Amino acid sequence: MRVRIRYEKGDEQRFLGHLEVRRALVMALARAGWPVAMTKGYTPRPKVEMVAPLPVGTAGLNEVADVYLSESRSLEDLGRSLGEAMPPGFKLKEVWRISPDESTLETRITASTYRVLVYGAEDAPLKRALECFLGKDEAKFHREAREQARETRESHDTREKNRQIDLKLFVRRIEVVTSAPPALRIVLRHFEGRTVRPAWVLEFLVKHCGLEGVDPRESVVDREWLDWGDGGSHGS
Amino acid sequence: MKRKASVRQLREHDEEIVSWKELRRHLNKVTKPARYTGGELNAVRKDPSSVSVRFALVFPDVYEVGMSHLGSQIIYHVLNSRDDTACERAYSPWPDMEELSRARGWPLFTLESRSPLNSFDIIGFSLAYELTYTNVLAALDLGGLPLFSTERDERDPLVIAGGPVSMAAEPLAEFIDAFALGDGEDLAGEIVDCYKKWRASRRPRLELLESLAGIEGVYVPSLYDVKHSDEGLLVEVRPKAGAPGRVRRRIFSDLEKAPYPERPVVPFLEPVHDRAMVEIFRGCTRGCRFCQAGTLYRPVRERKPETVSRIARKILAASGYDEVSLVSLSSADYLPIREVIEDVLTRSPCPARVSLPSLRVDSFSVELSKLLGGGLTLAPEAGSQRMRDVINKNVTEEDVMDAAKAAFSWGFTRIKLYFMIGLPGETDQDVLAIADLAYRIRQLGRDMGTKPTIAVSVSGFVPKSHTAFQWEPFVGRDEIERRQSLLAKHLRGPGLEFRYHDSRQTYLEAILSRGDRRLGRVVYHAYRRGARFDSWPDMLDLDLWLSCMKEASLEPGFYTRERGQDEILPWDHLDPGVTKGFLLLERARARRAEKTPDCREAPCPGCGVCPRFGVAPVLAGRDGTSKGAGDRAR
Repeated sequence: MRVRIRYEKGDEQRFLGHLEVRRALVMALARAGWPVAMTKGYTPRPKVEMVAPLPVGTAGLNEVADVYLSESRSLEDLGRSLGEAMPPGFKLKEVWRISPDESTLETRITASTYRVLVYGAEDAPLKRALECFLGKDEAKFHREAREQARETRESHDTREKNRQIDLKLFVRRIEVVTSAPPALRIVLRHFEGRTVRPAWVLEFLVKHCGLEGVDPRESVVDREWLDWGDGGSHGS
Repeated sequence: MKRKASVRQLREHDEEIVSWKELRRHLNKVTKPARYTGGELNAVRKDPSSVSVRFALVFPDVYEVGMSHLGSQIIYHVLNSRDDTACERAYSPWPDMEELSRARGWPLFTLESRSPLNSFDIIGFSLAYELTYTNVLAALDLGGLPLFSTERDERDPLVIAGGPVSMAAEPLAEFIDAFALGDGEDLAGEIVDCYKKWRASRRPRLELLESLAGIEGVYVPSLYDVKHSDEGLLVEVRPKAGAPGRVRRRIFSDLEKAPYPERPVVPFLEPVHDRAMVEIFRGCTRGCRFCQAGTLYRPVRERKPETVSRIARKILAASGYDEVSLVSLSSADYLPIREVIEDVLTRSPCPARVSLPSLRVDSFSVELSKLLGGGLTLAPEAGSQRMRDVINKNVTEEDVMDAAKAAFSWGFTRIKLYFMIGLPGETDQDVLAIADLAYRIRQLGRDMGTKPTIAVSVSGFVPKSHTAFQWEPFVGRDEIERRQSLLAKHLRGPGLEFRYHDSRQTYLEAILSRGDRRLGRVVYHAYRRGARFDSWPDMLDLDLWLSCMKEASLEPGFYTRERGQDEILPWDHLDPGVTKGFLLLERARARRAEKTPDCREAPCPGCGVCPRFGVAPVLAGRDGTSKGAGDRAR
């Protein structure tokens, strides 16, 4: 049996990394008594597939993971037991059954919607920076080599090529939604599992669009929802 | 005086916690920010206004290390079980976080309520190793407290410290108001009670310290005047104000009745030991002469197997861990170990593995390792039989080879071996015997048709207080390095790996662990000049420490030298229960390479703990209450 869960990685747990979130979920599943299937191989691991990992510092209001079970259970039981077992700062929002043959969700995600609280900027200069960004044909962003090397297993050449990303390809929408401090809503595309981070867009605005007084590391980023193919979209 | 004013200022804003909004905005600038955000499963958050005593438990190392420390989890549980007390946790900030904190004006705060340390009633440090001393000072300073005990007044928190290092922590004597010696299960609560009574009386701070000194197991260093001779030798330790001449370590005599954290705090960040821990017994009877824990946790007190299994099931259900470690100083000595392992493996609420942190060198332990899965580590501690007899590691050549044979026949191909070098009376021949042993084990593996890897790990011996070797000299950093390279030259070849401990750390540990009160100035200056996390090889700046010693006109050699048997040692006024006479006897036996048998099996060797402290070994799996000699077949 394969089930998909939708959960919240809350504000106060935003600083957990992807692996820590996975560990927290696996331990919650154990406390909930879910009969989680194990992977085959020398060191079997619980079969839990995380989707579109969030970086350290980002909260997620509607995150998704797939869990494979070794035996069938009623969705009601599963939802209740895991709901009670979620650790502080996490909330289970939905559990539903999906076909075991369904292809992995990771490559089918089409977009992430973020809300980004920008400290240090007034509304007007922020809006001007956005106009500047939207007016550009391309927005080349250089990832830190160190960061990239850590995260990918690509060959040296591929890595060099991928270090330079055109943010414009990824940004589907960007707008100012609240003020004092202003918040941005940014919709970022995913291509076959590849996407960019809102903090990179902010960094670009600072470096190339005249946005002053902003330290991108100080932005507070929440992912509000994920969209994926077949019209599936979860979140409010 | 200037510093004190700033502390006062901070205290006026006691109620001000570091706001989440502020923290959230800036934490992305540091590595592993989740070290500072708390909110873990089973963490206890109490409303400060609902309790009368607020206790901050501080582990002076990074979060992932502190969260693996069982003693802290026990004290956290004991204190939070009291309705009148809220115990919160804090850990040392990594240098990037310290820098950010100073830049933002954040004090060191607890994870539960993000309150600054100086807003608490009591600060309790957990001292697990000596190389955390500068972190203790950093925590006090960042927490807004005066560093020196004498600078604190009635408005400042009481600063205490516990853990094994407290039994010889004279270098911290000027910074810590009171040390809690021995088991904390009862002692922690008694200290809280004493504090409450004093606070209600509105008497001067000195009276708090005096009444604390009246509690068995509490050592108040400021109530002892120490005098040194011109040569630096300790000539007198004189108690004042009715403080006892010697402070006895506390012993919680029956672990069956001990409170245990069955709902431990489960960190989100992976701790260094990522598993549930059940203490199966406290104390060890093996009597290894180098081992301080072997003295400081006597007598052996076992939990009943059914209690161990019950605790394991409860922790697993409350945590979701997939592994339980059956913790003790020598877990294979626990007679019902097999039945407990089987019980945990078959009756756990969720599938779980079992691990044992400390195994003996024998085929039984190898068999257990196989049963549990994972790697195999054996600790013969010394290469030659003579050296093993000197240190009273009751392991024969035959035991080692039997264990290795069992390992290869059970399918292990990689064996890790732990040794020490620089032991008292060690010759180059003894050092080379380590290589020789590794060769012979590798050959045995090859003869048995495997392709073995023997990973030899070597650390430098540091003479520790309260052991038979407390008088022995530290062989010196250069000598440790010479012996390391001697071994490295001989431990080459396919299927052999060699690792050794950083000799700089060994050296600093050798200075601090038998240090006296005068070293406090050195710790202070090292802290002021930036020393932090000295137990992290990349962080240690030994030259800084040595120059601080020079400035204080103290010689490292004075601390690493052999001590005279009639000398007053800086920890002599702290009574572990084991008599000095027994330690001297053991030292003499060591010099004759004579063994002392395990008190589980042989007649009482007379260490002194049981008759002097009115306790007895508690061995489970028989009548469960008292020990008998010689009938523990294995």
